[in-house]
Amino acid sequence: MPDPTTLPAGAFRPEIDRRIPAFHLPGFQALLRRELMRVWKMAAMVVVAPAVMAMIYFTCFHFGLGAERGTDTGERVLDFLVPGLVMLSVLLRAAENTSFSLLYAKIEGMVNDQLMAPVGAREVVPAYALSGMLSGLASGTAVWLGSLLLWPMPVAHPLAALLFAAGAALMMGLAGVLAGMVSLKWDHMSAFFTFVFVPVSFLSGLFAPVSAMPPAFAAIVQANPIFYAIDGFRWALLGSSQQDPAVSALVVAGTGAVFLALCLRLYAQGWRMRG
Amino acid sequence: MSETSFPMPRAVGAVNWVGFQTLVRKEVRRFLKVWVQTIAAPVVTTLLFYAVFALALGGVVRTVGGVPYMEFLAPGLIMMAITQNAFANASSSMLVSKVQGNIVDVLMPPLSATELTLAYVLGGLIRGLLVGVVTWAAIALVVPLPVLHPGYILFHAVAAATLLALLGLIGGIWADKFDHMAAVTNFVVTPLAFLSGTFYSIESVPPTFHFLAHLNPFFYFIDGFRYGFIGLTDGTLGTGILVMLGANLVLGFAAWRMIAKGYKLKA
Repeated sequence: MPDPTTLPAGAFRPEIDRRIPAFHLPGFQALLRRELMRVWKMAAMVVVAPAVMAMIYFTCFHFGLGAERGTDTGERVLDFLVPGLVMLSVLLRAAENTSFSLLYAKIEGMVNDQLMAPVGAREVVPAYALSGMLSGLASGTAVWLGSLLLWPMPVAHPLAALLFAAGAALMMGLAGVLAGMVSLKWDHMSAFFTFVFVPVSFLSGLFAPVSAMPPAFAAIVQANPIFYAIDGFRWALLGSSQQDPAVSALVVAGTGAVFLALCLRLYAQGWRMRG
Repeated sequence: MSETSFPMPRAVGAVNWVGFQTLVRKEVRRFLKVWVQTIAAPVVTTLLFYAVFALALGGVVRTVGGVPYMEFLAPGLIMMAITQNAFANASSSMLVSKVQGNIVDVLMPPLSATELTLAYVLGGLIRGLLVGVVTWAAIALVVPLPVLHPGYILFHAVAAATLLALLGLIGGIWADKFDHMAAVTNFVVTPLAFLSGTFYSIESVPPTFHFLAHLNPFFYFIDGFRYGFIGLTDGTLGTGILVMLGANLVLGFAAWRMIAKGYKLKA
């Protein structure tokens, strides 16, 4: 057996086992680390900007609607609003993180690095989704802490709140992966946000209970998975909600599973990624 | 002996009209080419805000100073769209040119600092007003807005858009990368725009906020603009006009001076 130190780099060495297991853990870890470092570098934008924005919305609603106004279902309007604003930030940040990262890699051409490496859809998609989730949770936490400064309120079910936020962030992170795969230019992605993600997130019972809406509108809102994400989260924070929280959890999990299946399939096919 | 004709340099008078018009045309084409992002997107976002507030009110008929809340809100939202887009256009045009290096194409031709400043400001002004008109038309389909004082509407729209375009131009010249610009937008322009009395009458807030609002130029834009539509004002129209004219002069001079000196533009 030749001395390994005298061999040129990359020479064939049969004594090293290069078989790749069903799940390539080191590849997954490396990709996740890269994605999280990206989030870390942009921490100011990820955490500070959404918190400032949420406090601005909050002030506008406070003065625009009056703090002591009640909703139809009896909560005070600002109590009702806090879970919605936290969730809005979680959802949009999660989608933004994954779609931006994927499209940027495509446009700059460095997507080759992950397409050529021995990692496939089952490592790449979870790595992106997880980093999107963590980034969404970070920005949601910032918004929640910011809201505590202006409007202190207790949390009814802390663990459920975390689970709902994490589940919804995964769902939107996966939706962001899909958007990143579909888009070929920045224009496509900004159109995605302006015409899909933002309207869908805003028209979700975020600011008002469905019972107060016209019936046609309420039907549209109730067909929106984000409505269930926000409603479940609202239950976890306030202890009361419009839907059974179990139903909300099922809808979020189901939608997330559908997005996950789509992402895995399309990424494995290399749709709009290769060639 | 046939005369050979060479192209001779064109004489440039006191004002380089051809160059100025070309630059303005370039600025307008720049945003029209991506109109989905520059016109349609802001209109959709503004309408979304409008819809959200309509829903949050839950059908309760609320009035501010005797005017239905939805009529009170509309002029402020239109003004926010105008100012944010005027700012975005001037700042992104300048910054993109700097980052990509094609700023030399603007600096080398015989264009004076005055012509450059005016052309960039005009680009932002046109985009702001275009977004404003489209938003207004869309809102008018749902809530018909009266027009009581067209002069006030026009003056405030133009003066506010010019002011923000100048601010955007200065920001674009100052910024070295997109992060800087995003910070200015997120931490200066957006908060000022939102906390300006768009969503509430400044009379109904605590005294501290009341005082702070009067230091915010956006308060004067929106107050005068709203007066033009529905005749409702928080009572500072004269001060507002003076503030806007003064701020435009100061910022106009600052932008002109930066370009004339080549600050962060010429090595």
